[in-house]
Amino acid sequence: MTTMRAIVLDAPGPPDTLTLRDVPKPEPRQGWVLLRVEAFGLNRSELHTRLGLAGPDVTFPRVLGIEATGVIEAAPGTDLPIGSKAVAMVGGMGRSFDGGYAEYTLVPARCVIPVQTELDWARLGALPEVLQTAWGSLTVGIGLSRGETLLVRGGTSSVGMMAAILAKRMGATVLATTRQPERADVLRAIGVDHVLVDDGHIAEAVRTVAPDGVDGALELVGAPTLRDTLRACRVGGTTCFTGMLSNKWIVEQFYPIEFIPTGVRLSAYGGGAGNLPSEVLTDIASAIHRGELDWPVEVYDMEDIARAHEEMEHNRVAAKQVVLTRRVR
Amino acid sequence: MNVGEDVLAAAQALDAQRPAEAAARLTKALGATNDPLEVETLLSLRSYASWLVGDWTDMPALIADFRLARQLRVQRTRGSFGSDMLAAVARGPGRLELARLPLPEPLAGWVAIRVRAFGLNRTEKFLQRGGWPVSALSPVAPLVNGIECAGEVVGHGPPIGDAPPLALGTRVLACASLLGRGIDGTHAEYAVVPRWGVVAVPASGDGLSWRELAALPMSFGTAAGSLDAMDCSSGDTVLIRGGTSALGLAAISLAKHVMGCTVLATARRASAEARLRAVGADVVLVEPDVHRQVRERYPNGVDRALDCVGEATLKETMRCVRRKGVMCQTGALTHVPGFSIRLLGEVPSSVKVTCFESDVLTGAGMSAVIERVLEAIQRGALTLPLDPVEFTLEQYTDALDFLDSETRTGKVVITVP
Repeated sequence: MTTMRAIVLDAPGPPDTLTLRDVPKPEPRQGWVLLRVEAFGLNRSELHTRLGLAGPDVTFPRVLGIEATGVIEAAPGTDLPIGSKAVAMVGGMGRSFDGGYAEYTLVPARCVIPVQTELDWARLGALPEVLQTAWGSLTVGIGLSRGETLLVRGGTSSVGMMAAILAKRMGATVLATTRQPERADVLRAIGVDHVLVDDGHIAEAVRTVAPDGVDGALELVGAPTLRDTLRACRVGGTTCFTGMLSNKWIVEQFYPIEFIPTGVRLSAYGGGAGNLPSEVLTDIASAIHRGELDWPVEVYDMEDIARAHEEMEHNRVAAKQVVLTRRVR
Repeated sequence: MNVGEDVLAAAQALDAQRPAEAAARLTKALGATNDPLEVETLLSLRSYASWLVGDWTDMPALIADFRLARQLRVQRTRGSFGSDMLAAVARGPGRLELARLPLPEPLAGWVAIRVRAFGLNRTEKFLQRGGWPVSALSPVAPLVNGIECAGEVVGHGPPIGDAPPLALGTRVLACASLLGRGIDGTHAEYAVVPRWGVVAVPASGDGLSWRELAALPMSFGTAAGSLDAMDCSSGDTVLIRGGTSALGLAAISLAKHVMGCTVLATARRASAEARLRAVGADVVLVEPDVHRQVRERYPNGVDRALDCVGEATLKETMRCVRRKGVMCQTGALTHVPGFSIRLLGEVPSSVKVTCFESDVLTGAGMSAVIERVLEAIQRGALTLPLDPVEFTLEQYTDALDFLDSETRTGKVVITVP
């Protein structure tokens, strides 16, 4: 039996519960794609799983990882090209079946998007889930149009930065929040038009920029700031709840008519590969490769996983964290 | 009225839908006067502005101040009241009575109305049971009930701004935020209402009785506001959850006969089917299992859904809506203590959820809705969903009980002889 290295979580716990060990390499399967993993991004979803906050669809022991990037090694029963670079994401990855924290991963074809790019594995591997989440939130969750105004609540998160970049490329005016004033320059550097320092109440500050409220808002902090974000939206505008940097996504004592201002719309986004067109992925990967976009990453070896998770848990890294499966040092 | 340009600017800002600016102006003006009538007027405008902004944090304090100012003024001018009137007064949880009160005096910018008929609403049921659920704006007893009415103009307070006053005798409809909650309402022989909550009945309404006119403001204003909040348009498939409520019935008839939608409506009892079809429902679904029934007919979900039931059905209604569709939560027939929502998982990805709070209804908004409804009545498309059982003011508590009756089939209206 062929084996591979994988990071397995046997049960929720502290960072060192994540163990790197040899497990059987998955066998190709009809309608599924065997991906040789070169890099995988780290996500808060995996942190939630490790902390025991995930829903009942997560079972243990589990190879974590809701995304992976690499090369298609086998794809029986699909028209996906063998040997092509590809990304894979969500749809149960790392939750109800083994995911991307491994040298190989076997995922349903619907989770896979082929990509043609010369971008290095680290930065490409840091892209799929962030890009899918940001793109899906803007297009499916909000329905943002050219010329509209977007508020990103939680602007310095990876998804927040990507959403701001995409919105600027769509011709929108972008407001983004950060709790730390010293991060304002980072936001301005990626094109954010108005940086707001978030003290928990920003609706009024938003209205000094957009008096009727913004057309769209992306809530990445979580349930505690959601009502304030809704109040920053215009009538007919949409706040999309996507992330929860706060690890809180339940609104207690939810009285809808008081929580949602009249005429403002609330949506939530949790999507999959099907919401990310291959062209968008290729376009953004190419822009980063050409140096048009700065996409900072923090790179780790598989052996570093406990440290990487600890840093994520304490919000110590200002860049997207990505692990390379072949040693970087 | 002599608090100067701040009040004028605030009134203009309110008309122009800039409530935050109005609130700031009014706060400034409040600091510059001690005159009870002025204070009372300013506070009423100020609470209205806060309401529109959506900031309810200072509302209880504003209303407490408002009532204090009113008491001071009433004490000072009590001798000037020449007559009294019959009114439905909430004196506390479970304590509702008909009582005689002094005639109310219109504040600056307010209109005095001889009430001819008024509709009953859930608000009064909540008051009767002892309070509004959860809201920051719990009523303070004693309080004249009532959030809407139809009647004639019999007087004006001193004018604010340039808006011409309504001629005495004009037939009007009224509904406004705070009425019957923070401040005395319309369930009485006379009511005073802020000018922004009053709309003159257009000529197309000449043929309608007081009873019919009284069925219009809240039900149709709220139904239209809710359908508009979802951008409902011709050809849309709309689910109305809670079809037999007065709001539900109005929404069915508007969606069908004014907006040209295909309408699915729900009821708890199969016996309601004929009634819902008569007002315009194309399909009637009987609870429970509405989600399954909707998806059997529309596998991708409906375009729009209006939930008039509340927390008990909200999560299921969301799942009835198609991808990129919209639902609106309006009204609250149910209240689930400790109701919470898991934003990821329970809110379906790509469905948009909005709310409509009827307190944002103003005369200007009402006017357009009422024109549309009257036009549909004139061309014979729409019949007002009035309940056939008639009540007069003396039968107030019977009428309130009837609101929950299984034999109720329409909007309950009370006439004031």
